Amino acid sequence: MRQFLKVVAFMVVTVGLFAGYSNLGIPQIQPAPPPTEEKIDLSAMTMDQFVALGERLFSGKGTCTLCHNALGRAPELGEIAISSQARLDDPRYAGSASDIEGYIRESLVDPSAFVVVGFGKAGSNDTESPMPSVNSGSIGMSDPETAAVIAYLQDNGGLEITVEIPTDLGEAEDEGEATNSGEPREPITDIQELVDNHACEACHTITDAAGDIGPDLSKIGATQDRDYIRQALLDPNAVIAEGYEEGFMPDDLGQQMYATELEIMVDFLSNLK
Amino acid sequence: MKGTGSLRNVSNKLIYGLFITLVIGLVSVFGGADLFAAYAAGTEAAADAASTGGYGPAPVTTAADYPSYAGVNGRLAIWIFAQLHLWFAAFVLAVPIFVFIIEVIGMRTRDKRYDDMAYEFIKVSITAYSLTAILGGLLLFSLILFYPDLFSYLSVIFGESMFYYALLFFGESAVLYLYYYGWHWLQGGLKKWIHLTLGLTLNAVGTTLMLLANAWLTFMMSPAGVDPAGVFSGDTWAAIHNFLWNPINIHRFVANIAYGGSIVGAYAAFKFLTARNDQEKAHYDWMGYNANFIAICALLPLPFAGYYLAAEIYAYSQQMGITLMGGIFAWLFIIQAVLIGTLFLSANYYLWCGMGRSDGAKRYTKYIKYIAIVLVGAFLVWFTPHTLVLTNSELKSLGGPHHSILGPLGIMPAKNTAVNIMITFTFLSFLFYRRSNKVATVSWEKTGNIIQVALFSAGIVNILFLGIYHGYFTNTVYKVAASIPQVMTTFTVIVGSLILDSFIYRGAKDVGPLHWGRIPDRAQYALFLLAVAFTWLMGLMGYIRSGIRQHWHVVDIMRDNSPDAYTPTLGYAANVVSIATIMFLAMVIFVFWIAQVSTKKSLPAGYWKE
Amino acid sequence: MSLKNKLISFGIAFVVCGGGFLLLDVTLMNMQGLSLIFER
Repeated sequence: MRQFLKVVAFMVVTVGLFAGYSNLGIPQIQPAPPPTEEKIDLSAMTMDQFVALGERLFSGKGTCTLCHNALGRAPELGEIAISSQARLDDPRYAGSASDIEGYIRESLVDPSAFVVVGFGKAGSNDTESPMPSVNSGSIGMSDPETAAVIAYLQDNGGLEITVEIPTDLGEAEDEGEATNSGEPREPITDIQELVDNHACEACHTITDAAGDIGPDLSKIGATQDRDYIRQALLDPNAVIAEGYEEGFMPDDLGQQMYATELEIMVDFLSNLK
Repeated sequence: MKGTGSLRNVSNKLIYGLFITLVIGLVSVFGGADLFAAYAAGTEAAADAASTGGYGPAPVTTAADYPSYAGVNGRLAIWIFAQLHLWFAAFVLAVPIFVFIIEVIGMRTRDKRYDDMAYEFIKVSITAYSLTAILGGLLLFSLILFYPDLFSYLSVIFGESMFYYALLFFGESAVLYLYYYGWHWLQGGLKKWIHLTLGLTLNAVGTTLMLLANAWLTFMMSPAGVDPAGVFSGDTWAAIHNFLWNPINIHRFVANIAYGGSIVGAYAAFKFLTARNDQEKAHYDWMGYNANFIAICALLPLPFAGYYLAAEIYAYSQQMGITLMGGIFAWLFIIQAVLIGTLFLSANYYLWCGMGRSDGAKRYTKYIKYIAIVLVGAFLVWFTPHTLVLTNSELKSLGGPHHSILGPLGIMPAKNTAVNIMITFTFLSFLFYRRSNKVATVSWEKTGNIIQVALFSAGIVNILFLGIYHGYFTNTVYKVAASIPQVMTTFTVIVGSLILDSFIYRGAKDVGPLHWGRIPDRAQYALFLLAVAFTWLMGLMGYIRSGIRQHWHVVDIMRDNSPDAYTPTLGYAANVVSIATIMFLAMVIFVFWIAQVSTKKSLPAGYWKE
Repeated sequence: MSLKNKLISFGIAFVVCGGGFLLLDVTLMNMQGLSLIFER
């Protein structure tokens, strides 16, 4: 019996150690809740806002930057003006699009219609794309959202924006109330949500979604203090890092963010070392 | 006890046996596939006749569609029942596999000890069968109660296969009872052959059951045979043979053997500790050694089966792959590293202690500390690079799980290198153990040893070269690609030195008789640690496998709209796994205890009239 | 066997095994359409 109790105690202690390590040795991350459809009020939207929405979707809900980034996991989308036409002219092209807008939409909704050489699923000989369709399943963008991403991609690639802001509001209709009710929005406390909402990673490398339009911020805390970072957020053109151009960074973050959000951002950036 | 010289025989035969098992397993996977295909051809015809119009899209649920009963959290109930069911199922599927092998070895060598050991293994697991069925029933009931829409959707697609599953379960029980209760009756000559055929049938039925159940869960991860809205095409075979089915089949088949070995190892360890005389001690030491050997043989290929599964998950959906390795779950792989490190260290420790059984082991003990240092080093490398990326407080302030904070592929090479080094050195431990009781007699022994040292050194250099150069100085494609020659190097070292060793030790002399039972008590605790770590690890990995579906019942087809459709924190998951582990261990202790109650007799004086 | 002889035999065996492994690496990388040495 003594042996038995010893063995039982040993086992319970072992399980306890494993559990303890998982609870105390590992950071407890509260995962984000499942994604919901973004509320869109299309009726009052200008094209600039529509493009901005597309940009948010691109780096946020769409999770496009997971792969379409400087790591080269998926084709570069910045040269879309040249590449789209080239792909339409490609003898391998067998899709149904006839213009660039159509090509972009097709690539979003049916990624396997044309796969750029070298980016197909392993073993499929570039006939099958690893990208999920944006309007089904795990990404689940609505048609207006897809249109917004197309607008953003065209704008970002230096093309004329041919896509129209959908007038058929569909689901978006009843959602207008929420945004028009005039109530202040809830402050965001999640840094990733902040980063996504302001699409910082479209230009900056922060963790690993590498944008290179703006300076690399992944170690910014090692060289700059909090005041510098705060100023750079509020008045980005005050000091321009060498090799980068003035005027790219939005200078209205001070109007868009709550003070608490700004401080979360400053805290976060100053701790990146 | 005729222990002398049996050590090498045991190892060789078990290696051979496990190889045969793998072959049989693969054949039954693919042979089973043929059966399924034939069956599916039938259903296809039926489906054509019925036309696909009869099936509706996947149900869209709201929070109200998830009933709650008596304040029980449905997700938690399902989680625990499924996990307990899985542990028992893994155990009862694995035991007949190696019982069959051991019985065959006994039949070939005509050494009755094997037959007795095989019988003892099946005896201690017999109660576990009914527990498996009971827990399966609980899982089914709670699925119907708490997730009725999901269950009815799945039963539309798999209804027929569920029916066959139930029938097979009857078959499994029937064959099992014949196999177990007929053990002493079916002995000798033709009867033994009949008994072995029963054993093979038992394994075939058991494996088929597992394949069917695997189809249901892999369908939820990588649905097939349905259109994007979830309308079933009527082709059951397509739904069964979905993208992740075979990767899971292989992974589970190998893992089950390792798991079953570790559980019966714990049984033998406990019997060793409570043995009343030296003969019993020797018997259970021998049994524990064999069980551990089975566990380790299956453990060595397991990382590769796991790697294959992960690669297939990536291939199926890059997004799911990134969730798996780059998001919140990335931290789980650090816990996994700690556990697998525990497994390797305790397995090695047991081997080192076991060298005490031989009088010739002294020659090798001086090397053991170096192996220990390398193992611990590899263990540390394995999870250090992750934690250096961000400190805990930084990550807390970071908050979100999105994006691959840890740059998973960037650190996979370090991890791969460490795993390969650990496997190579574990094999070295085993090699020392094998040699400990032998003295080579061939004239070229020294040269042979030098070649073997060179093979190991060159292999290790190559593993390090591939890991460091391709891991840190090239791009993602190279990093992933380089893991293949790395694995093959490990494999070559193992196979090469096994062959070389068998030549060096051809006709070798024994140092002296092996002293079974001459092993310290603390070595038995290594076996307990192995069993507990295995159980816990399986629970954790099961959580990941299920968790990467995120807020989907059936990925991209049927969304989970219940209030619990979020990923819990790792601490919460670890606590659930821990509680379930303790419940499982308690039940296993009961199963083992009940197995020996049947041998106990009380003779109360004067109770019965004379 | 003298130490020198031991070292020489080890050296030869090491070079043979190492060469074998290198060949294995090259083959397996080529089978995946890559060269052993990284080309950008």
